[in-house]
Amino acid sequence: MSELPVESEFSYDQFSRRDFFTLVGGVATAGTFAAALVSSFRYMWPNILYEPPKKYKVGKPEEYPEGVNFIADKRVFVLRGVYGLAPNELRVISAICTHMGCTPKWIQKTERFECPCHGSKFNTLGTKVAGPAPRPLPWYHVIIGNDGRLEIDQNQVVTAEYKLAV
Amino acid sequence: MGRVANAVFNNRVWKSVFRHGYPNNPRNRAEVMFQNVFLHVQPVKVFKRSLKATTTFGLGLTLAYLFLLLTITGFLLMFYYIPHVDRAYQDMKDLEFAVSFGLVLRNMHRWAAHGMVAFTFLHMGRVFYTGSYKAPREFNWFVGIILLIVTLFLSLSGYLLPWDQLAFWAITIVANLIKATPPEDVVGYGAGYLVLGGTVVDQNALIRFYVMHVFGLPLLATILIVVHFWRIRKDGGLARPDEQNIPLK
Repeated sequence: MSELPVESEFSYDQFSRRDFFTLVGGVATAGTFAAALVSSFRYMWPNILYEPPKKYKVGKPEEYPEGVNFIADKRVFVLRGVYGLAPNELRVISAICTHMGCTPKWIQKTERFECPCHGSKFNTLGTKVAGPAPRPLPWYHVIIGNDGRLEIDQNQVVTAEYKLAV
Repeated sequence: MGRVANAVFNNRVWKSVFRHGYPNNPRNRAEVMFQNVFLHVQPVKVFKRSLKATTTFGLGLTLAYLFLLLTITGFLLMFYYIPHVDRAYQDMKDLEFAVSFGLVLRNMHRWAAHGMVAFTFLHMGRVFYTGSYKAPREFNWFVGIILLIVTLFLSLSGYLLPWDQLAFWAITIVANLIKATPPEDVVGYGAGYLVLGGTVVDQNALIRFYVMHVFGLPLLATILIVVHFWRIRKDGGLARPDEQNIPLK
């Protein structure tokens, strides 16, 4: 490839007054656009969220009979009096599959939490026994709130041994 | 410097995008305008009188830039604004007080919108007083009139979106203006019913004004602006004083 055609009045080697103002103008324009771009990205990062809280109250303990109870709107299971729990003891496990976030279903016959999306299966300890899920289902911290209702805190993941006596 | 420029401009990738040579001679400068979709809005050569600032005061160009600014800021505002009667006012307040740079964006959108109405009248005033509406530019004047109406409707529909007292009563009054179209029981009632999506200013009216504001009217305006620009070139470029009669200073 040949060199660029250069006319006599044009040269890359002379830095004229016009070149100076072109450079200043160019830098100012680029700076303005860069600032607008950065602030636009900052704008897209919300400061306040209106999402449902991760710590919330559900019903009173007596509303959950012995067995596995599903709380649909919160997507958790409340276990009571089964699988190592006394009749007055409770545990709360997530109903969000650790694979792609579908809702596993409690199957009494197999005694497993079975996800309908990609076939992940979890046992009564939350441990994965089949399918693609990378992690066990987490257990959540639960206490009795001052109004007598169960207070679940999804920010606090506990071990499968954690239980609440009511 | 020459070697760097050569490396940047003289390779296969650059030449696949820009098929003309470096614009340092008249031919290549003309090719820049021919071969670039954005630059070909401009003519290859302009009259000296067209370049003189006082010929047009750049009012039409200002309007085009305001429209672009409104499109960009409006696009960003849509991420936080939800056109629901229970949310709209709160979202507008959140944009002002809780979202980073939200106040800047909202005010840019607001002032650019006011500016667009003002500059439309200034632009039309310039066109009128320079006689630029005369043949062969009559059709472009007509397109401009439609653009004026579209601009006013954009301004009005945006005015409802904050869903405050000012917005509510403004649209109530406009709705009653529409309903007063004779014969009132047929045309007036029907037009009002269509615009509001009912008989009162409520959720149906809000979503209708929102959809028109963010999609319908901007689309119409964009199409008309394209025609408007195209007709400037086709009608012989920017109107300018007669070369023979008035000498250029």
